[in-house]
Amino acid sequence: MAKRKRKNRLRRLSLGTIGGIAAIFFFAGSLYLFSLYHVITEKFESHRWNLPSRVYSSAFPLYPGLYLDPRDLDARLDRLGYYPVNHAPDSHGQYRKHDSRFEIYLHRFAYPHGSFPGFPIGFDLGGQGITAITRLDTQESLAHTELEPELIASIFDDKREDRTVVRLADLPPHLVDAVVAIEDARFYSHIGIDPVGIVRAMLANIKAGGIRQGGSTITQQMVKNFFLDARRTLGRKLKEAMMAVMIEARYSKTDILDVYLNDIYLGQRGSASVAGMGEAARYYFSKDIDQLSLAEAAFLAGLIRSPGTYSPSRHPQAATERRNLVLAKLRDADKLSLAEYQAAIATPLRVRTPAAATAQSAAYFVDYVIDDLRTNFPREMLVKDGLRIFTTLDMSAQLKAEAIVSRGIDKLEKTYSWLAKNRQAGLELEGALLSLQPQTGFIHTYVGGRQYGRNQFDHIRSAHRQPGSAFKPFVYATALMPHDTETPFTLASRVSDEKLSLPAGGSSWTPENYDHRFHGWVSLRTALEHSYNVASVWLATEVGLDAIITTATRAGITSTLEPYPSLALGAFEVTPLELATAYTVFPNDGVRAQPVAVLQVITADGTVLDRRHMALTTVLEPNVAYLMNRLLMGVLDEGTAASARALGFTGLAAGKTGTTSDYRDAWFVGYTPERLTLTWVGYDHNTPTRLTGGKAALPLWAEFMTWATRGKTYSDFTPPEDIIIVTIDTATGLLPDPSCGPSRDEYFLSGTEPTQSCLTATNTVDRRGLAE
Amino acid sequence: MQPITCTRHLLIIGILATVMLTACPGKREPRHPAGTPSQPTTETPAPPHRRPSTPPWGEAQAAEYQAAEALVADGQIAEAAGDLNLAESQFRQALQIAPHYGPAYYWLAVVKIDMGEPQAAAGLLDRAETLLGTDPDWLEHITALRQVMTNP
Repeated sequence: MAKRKRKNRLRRLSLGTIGGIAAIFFFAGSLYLFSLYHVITEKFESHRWNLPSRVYSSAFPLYPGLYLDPRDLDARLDRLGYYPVNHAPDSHGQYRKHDSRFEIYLHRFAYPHGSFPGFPIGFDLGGQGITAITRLDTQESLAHTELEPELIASIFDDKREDRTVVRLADLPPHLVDAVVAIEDARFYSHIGIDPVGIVRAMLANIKAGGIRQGGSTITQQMVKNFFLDARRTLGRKLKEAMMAVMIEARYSKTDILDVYLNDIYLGQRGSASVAGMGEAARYYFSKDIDQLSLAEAAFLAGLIRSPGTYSPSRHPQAATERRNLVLAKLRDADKLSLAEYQAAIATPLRVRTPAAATAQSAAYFVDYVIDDLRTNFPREMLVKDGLRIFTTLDMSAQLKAEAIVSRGIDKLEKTYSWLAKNRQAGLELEGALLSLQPQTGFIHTYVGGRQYGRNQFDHIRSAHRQPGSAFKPFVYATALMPHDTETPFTLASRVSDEKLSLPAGGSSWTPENYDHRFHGWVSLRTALEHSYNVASVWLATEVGLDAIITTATRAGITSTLEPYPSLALGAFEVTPLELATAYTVFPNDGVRAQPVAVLQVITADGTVLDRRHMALTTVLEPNVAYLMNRLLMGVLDEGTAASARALGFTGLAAGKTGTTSDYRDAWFVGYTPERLTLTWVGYDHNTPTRLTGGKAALPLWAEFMTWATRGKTYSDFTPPEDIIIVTIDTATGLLPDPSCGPSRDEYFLSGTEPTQSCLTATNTVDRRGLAE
Repeated sequence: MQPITCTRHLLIIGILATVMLTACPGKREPRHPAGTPSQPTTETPAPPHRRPSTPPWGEAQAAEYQAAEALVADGQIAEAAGDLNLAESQFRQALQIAPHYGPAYYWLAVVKIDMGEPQAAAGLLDRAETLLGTDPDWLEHITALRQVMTNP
């Protein structure tokens, strides 16, 4: 009896224990499932992916008369993903080239101001540039059109996934059919896992003696990619299966496909992965997803299994076979007619060249843009919200400038033995090139260093360097300004280039010329053209150091300048960006144009978040700016930059060399009426280069500007009303007489020209060159 | 955006209409200084001098001005239709192609005022005046727009 009671108690106890354990398991299991469900719903229904913001170049305008090198156009079309065809272009992205004739079917593009639908255009490209542009579908003559902006860079989070989110409704039906046919033929009938598929895959693998087939459904693949990691453990597989079933129970097949097709990995662009069908369509075909042909859709569907194995650039045969397999599956599933199938498999697999698709350029510029936007758009926002940033950069000019800087500095290191020795010792010469449109401040090229991969320090905006003689134009511009109380200097004024000692911190400072000689009384023009230091310091003390600081500061120098005589020789450090800004006042009729890199920032749906405008400020009278242009033109024609002509630059331009003490910095800032370019060469740690601006920086400038101004026929800067030309006696700057000597033409602000004959000149001259 | 009063709107439309009539493509050149330069006021006879010639247009430059004119004309239509984003883009493109084309500065200033960004218009109007100020018609429009800007 007692024994039975004990047995019953034990039975009750064990049943209770089992029940308790079962309850605990049930409770824990429920908790686990609930947590899985929570993870699924939260991620599925919230902000699903971090979308990189994209930085775009400026659009490229096309208009009749535009000079365009056919090779540059070819390269630009290639970078934009256009591809050549041998028939009249009939879909977006195609172009035909026959002799000098171009026919281009322009891409669609969503601009900040609206969507451009894309249409076919045709024009001839002769020696005089583009002839009349015709819209080929309507035969309308166009006064202008444009090639869309180029994608410069994407701003990623740590995962570096490049993705363009597309809606399932926007996908061509054959793409969805192709993916289902090749990846999961029973997708629409299973519950997230497919026992039939698993058994079939097991049998196939046993037969093959290894893993040949997977039994994962599209839902399982989506779970693995979207929620889990790539580990191949039993636990992870079970979790994957559970989540797949839960997702199927909670969401529609359409929702699942939507996430799957946007999430799937489809290749590698440099260090970033190509994620989702939308981005893959752009990466491989430069097309929006809804423009994909049947064959292109089949290729992308086939790529899912292994983007590396079926890479069209590395394994074109395997890629084509895989595509054809997808097409065969579509045919077998009655999604294609035989004729459609045969036409599709006969289509050559043509994808964008990997070089064009993976080009990495303008890295310093992109850093500058990110920094410029930092106040309103923190980096977390840029890597997450998929903003579109439109900039002023001219991609062709940028690529050219990068090549010129890199090649030019290599050449310097090969030409000069001491630079080669430095290089062997691990000291790399650096360089920078900045080019902008002085009237608008729009930055066209921005090369912040020799090679971004090796040195990310941006010399354009972060390098504070002495400008040397490149600062002198602000001394001379101040001297040429009309003053209230006395007559201003003119280009013909005499300035003293004789030994000069000035008090400096208890001792005296004696400036020296580059050639260690003094040149006596020389014209203001000669002093700047030959960059005489002593004359410039003398002039600076005459016009007043504070006045020079005012001019330079108003022109755009924001670094600290102190009223010491060495100011005239560029002893105070500035950044190349400041100096280029300040120089805009000369070609821009005395108006400073603040540099502009970003034009607009918009959201993915086109809402404008930020719009930048030109910031123009009048600094000099237009006549002073014009006189400076005439003066600085002399630097290239007869002065320290005359070697630009020997370097191949033959156009009209003005500019100034700069070389700092001990040859630590070499500069050239020069401009045509419509383009200003600054070049700088030096070492990061101030090691002397032992080269002048004319030797080190000018060659880079000359090569770039020769390229940038090719085909241009600008003749001159436009003179203001009150500028006159007067013939003067070269030696005295006074009115000429046959008995005095040679004469020359000089530019004057009306009312400041000489009135006395050279015959009245004495040995004593005042600062205007007039006899006392 | 800053609200635009009815009177101000009418004034702007009036100015725009007048300028549209005077800015027909082919009618206006960007800058041809008129008149003779002022004579120096010295006691001695003025020395012989001449004006530097205004640079002749090269073919490329003429083409740029034509493209800029077309863009400005398109921008004016967009502006009149109230599509300020498009108008701004057209005027800006005109300047990118032909940065000395004065009407583009003027019209960009108009759009900036329409957009409620008068501070951005000031420098543009200065540039327009430098480039177009020798033409009394343009000067009148520029002056009127300045008044709109300062007395909204």
